[in-house]
Amino acid sequence: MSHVLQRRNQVLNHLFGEHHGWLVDRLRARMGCRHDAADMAAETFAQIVALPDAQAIREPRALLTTIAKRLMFASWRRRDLERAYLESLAAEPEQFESSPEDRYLVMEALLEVDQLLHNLSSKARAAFLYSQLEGWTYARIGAELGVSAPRVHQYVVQGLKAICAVVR
Amino acid sequence: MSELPAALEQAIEWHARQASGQFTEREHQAFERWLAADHAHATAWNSLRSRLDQTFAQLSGSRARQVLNTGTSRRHLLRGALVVGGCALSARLVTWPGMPLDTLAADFSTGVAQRETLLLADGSSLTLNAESAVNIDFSNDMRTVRLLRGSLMAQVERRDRPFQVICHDAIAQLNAGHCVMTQYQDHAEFWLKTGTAQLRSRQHQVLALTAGQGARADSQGVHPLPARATDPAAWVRGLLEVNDQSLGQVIERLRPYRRGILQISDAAASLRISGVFSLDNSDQALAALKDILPLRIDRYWGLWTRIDRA
Repeated sequence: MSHVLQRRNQVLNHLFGEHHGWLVDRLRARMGCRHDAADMAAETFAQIVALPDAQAIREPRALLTTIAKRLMFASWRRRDLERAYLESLAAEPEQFESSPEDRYLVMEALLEVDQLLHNLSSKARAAFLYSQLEGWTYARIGAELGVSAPRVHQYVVQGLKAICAVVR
Repeated sequence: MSELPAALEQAIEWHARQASGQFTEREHQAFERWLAADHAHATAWNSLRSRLDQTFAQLSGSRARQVLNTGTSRRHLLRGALVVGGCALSARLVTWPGMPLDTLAADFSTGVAQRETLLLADGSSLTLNAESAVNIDFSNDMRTVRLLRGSLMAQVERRDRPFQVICHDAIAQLNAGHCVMTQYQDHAEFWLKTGTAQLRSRQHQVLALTAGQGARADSQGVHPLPARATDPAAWVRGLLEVNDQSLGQVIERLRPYRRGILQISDAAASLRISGVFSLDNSDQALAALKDILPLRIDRYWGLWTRIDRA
């Protein structure tokens, strides 16, 4: 076995043996569901396995906690958005006639945009979305959010930068 | 936020000005001059437009805006919020019209890559792993499940009569609780997750188990197993959890999820491994194993997979 692979496998063995049970217990306490906790722990370890230099990890429990928290937050955010989208569809029953494929594509697009904008403040995010999705003038957005038009301009620039910042 | 190319920053500035609702004719002329001034400007402008078109192609109007402005709810921070969804198992009710609820005799089996949950008339449930078979026999004084092959997880409700799970070499008896049993070629493993149980060998040797304990049963009798870090019922969720086991053992557990022949050389079988793998996507699991271990995996005619040390 090549030395690098051998070392890597030893490290993963050690991490898994020492910390897997601990992580599942912690997630279970937090999430209240054994199955969700186990899935989240599995996903967390999958990300650790994917790290190029797992042997460099010094504080495994801190790292596991960080990754698990991020995954947990992402899954909650996803559920919130899905619920909001379905509620908005239910409010207009005729919209339910759109096909499941269409709804899936819309949901994926919503999640992608949500992810791209996640570093923006809530006002910047709202301003950018009013402009981009509803075509409101900056004067109207400013009145709605209680800020000046030049401030709205800055918010829109922040939003556009966020959309462009990630290389596809 | 990372640094963007200067031309793209300018394109963004122009786009934001155009969207203001107060874009004057003079500004428009200035924009045209900027666009014509440098090839890089036109490229940046086009890439910004196509980026926006791509990103927002599926989205328009107030619905998308409202959804995206949804705040992340606090309620998730409360313990137990995630119990909804995710935990549900598809299940089949083992009863039919006119059937007496107290007694039942039936055989069930699952095929390759199939799992099934059976809801029994007494409120207990059985989940069968892929390639597993059971024989259910409920009489007036005993509830009996015989595991013929494969694995089962039983969630036992307390009733007036005990519940027993039988493998080739032993009988596990419990009044209530939650257990997992796997029948291998020459032995069986039993793990108790909740409740208490008694394991009795053919030689009438008795082993008492409490939650979290496991035992092995073979023709020699029953023996306690050392505690393990992984969940013996991970397969219920379609996962294979492995902690420092041989690749040979891992492949054995993957086998019920794979059609065709899965062959492994002795040299590869003795490699040790830990990790979490997908049972429901065994190709992915094999690819993950190859990432961690020095393996060569050959496939022939889609039916025959051979694993060897690279």
